[in-house]
Amino acid sequence: MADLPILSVVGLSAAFATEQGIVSVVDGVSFDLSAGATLGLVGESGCGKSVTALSIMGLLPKPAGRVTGGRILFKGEDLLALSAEQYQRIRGNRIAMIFQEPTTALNPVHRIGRQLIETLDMHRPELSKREKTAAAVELLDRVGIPAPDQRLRDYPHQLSGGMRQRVLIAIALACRPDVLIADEPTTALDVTIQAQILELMRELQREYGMGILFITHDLGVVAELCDEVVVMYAGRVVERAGVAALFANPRHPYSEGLLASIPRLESVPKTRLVTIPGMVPALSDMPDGCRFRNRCSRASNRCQVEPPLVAAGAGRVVACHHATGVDE
Amino acid sequence: MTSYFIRRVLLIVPTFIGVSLLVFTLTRLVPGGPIERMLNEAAMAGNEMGASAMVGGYDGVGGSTLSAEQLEELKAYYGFDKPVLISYLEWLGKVLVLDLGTSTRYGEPVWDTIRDRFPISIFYGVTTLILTYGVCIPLGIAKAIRHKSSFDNITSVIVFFGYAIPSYVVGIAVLTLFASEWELFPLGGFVSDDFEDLGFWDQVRDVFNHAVLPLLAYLAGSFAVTTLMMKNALMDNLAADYVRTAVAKGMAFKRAVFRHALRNSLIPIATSFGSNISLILTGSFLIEKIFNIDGFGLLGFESLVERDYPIVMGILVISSLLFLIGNILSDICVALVDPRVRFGSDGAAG
Repeated sequence: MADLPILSVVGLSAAFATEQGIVSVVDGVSFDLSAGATLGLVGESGCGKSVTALSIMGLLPKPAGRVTGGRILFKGEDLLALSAEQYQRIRGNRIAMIFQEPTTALNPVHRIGRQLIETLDMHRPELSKREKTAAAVELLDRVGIPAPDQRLRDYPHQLSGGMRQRVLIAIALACRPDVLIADEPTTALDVTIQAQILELMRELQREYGMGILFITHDLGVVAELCDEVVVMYAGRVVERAGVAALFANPRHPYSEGLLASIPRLESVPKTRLVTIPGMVPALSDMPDGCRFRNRCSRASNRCQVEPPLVAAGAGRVVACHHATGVDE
Repeated sequence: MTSYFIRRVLLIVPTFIGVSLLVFTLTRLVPGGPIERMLNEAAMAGNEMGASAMVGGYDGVGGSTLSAEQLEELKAYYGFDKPVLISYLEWLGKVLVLDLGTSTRYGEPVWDTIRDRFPISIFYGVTTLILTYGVCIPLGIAKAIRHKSSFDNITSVIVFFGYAIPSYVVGIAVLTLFASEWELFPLGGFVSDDFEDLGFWDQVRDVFNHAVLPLLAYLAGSFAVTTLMMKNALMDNLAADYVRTAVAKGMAFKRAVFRHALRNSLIPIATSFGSNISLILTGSFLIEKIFNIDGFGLLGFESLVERDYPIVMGILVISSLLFLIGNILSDICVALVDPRVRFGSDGAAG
């Protein structure tokens, strides 16, 4: 059962219409998420992580952004073929999402309770008002908010950032979704709160058994939380591997660079941090072939041809002509 | 919050005294006034009596036909014989017992003159206010949702066209077209001469008929600001994260607009609501003049030209009080729609 993916993204491409024409932002991204598992989606800002997530949710900003290819299979059903109404029945109900900024993700003029119960209004209309309120109190209690029945009547500005993120988690989990997409949920929080929120998500996953797609650029968080990691660069998947395998032995030079740039306790203090040289090229100005080649130390003439994603050991794939540990 | 509003209400007192003292002093400083007007009238009368006799008899005191004694009497009558501050305090004392004095032009109590204009000004003010908000808010919403569509562009052109033309030009144009050329509507006035004899529904129709053209003139320019404010505020909020959260909950986008974005977008509109209240009573004298409507604007303008200071001060009392109360009303409106706004120290974080 755990092997059957609950969410399957197959060759997903998305593009944005800009003043310079149509720019491809996500290009042929594929991955599977199993029930009860956590998949990390990592990469620099602008690599297409969030656009991938928003595509799954059907929330790309219209009319500029749209999915241009691929399939998003939820329990075997292609979400891209759904009507707007059918999609609404899945959003917030079977697939839920929490966002990066807990400060702005809640409506400042509505009470917490109303915003929480709203999800139940839409997906659990059979519940009575009292049952919904009781469910809301229980949810707030479950995400670790003290005095939940009083907090229901609070406005978002009366809560701290960490508390607001807990509220957003409660909103996302109100209908016990099968998939939770977390788009950098801890980036805006300070480190101690981060740890609490991650711990909470882990607990809730154990309890509810949902699959989590965790989007982050923080590899520390990935190591702590994820089972499998998808590394994205400039809209493409460059490597996909189990978390232990990736951290122990990154195959793609980009993954290697990312891991090398994490400051470590054992490294000498006050020395220069390791960085990946250069910048991500503009999306409208991508090199042919491997998109990483102008920053890559191993680049050769072969890299002018786009490297395919090939199997590279147990359950992992990599898209590089010069991947470490793969036979040439 | 209550203490904040009590403080605001108390602050009306010094503000009002400041405003009225300033204007009162100005009325003393500017040339002209009831006495000069009387002198002129007397001189005119003298002119008519014997224009030829006056040629050599000019005495250099503004053609005064009054003796110095008579002048002193007049000054005492109008209260000009005392220092500004003393007569201001006398005036203020009368205002406190709701006595605004007597019009120097009509010889009637100021309050009666002003009160006669109330129904007309309130009618036009309230209608304009309702129509402005009634059009601007839905139009702004529709424009925001269909941003950059042809509907959005065309309405923008219309709204700004109206905004760009001075209202009195609109007034003259519609009057020439619809009242003179095609005779669809009356030429002016608030009601017909035979208004008293009409049945109720005919009276309503009569008022409406007379109101169409002036309202067009009033409204033509009033849509642009509020509509665009509404549109921009809503567009800001449509892009807000919490709207995305609402849609991510499974809410239809349209519903998210009305349940979430709309109330946040009304905050800037609420800010300007209170000050619009005071506009109710201050019609444009140009439009009132064109359509021959005896409203507040015309009264204020004429009393200024005629140096009818008791009326000028009477209008000032009413309009400044309305303005000050309107500002407090704005604050209350904002506090009502935005829970983050808590004035004073008794709320949570500001």
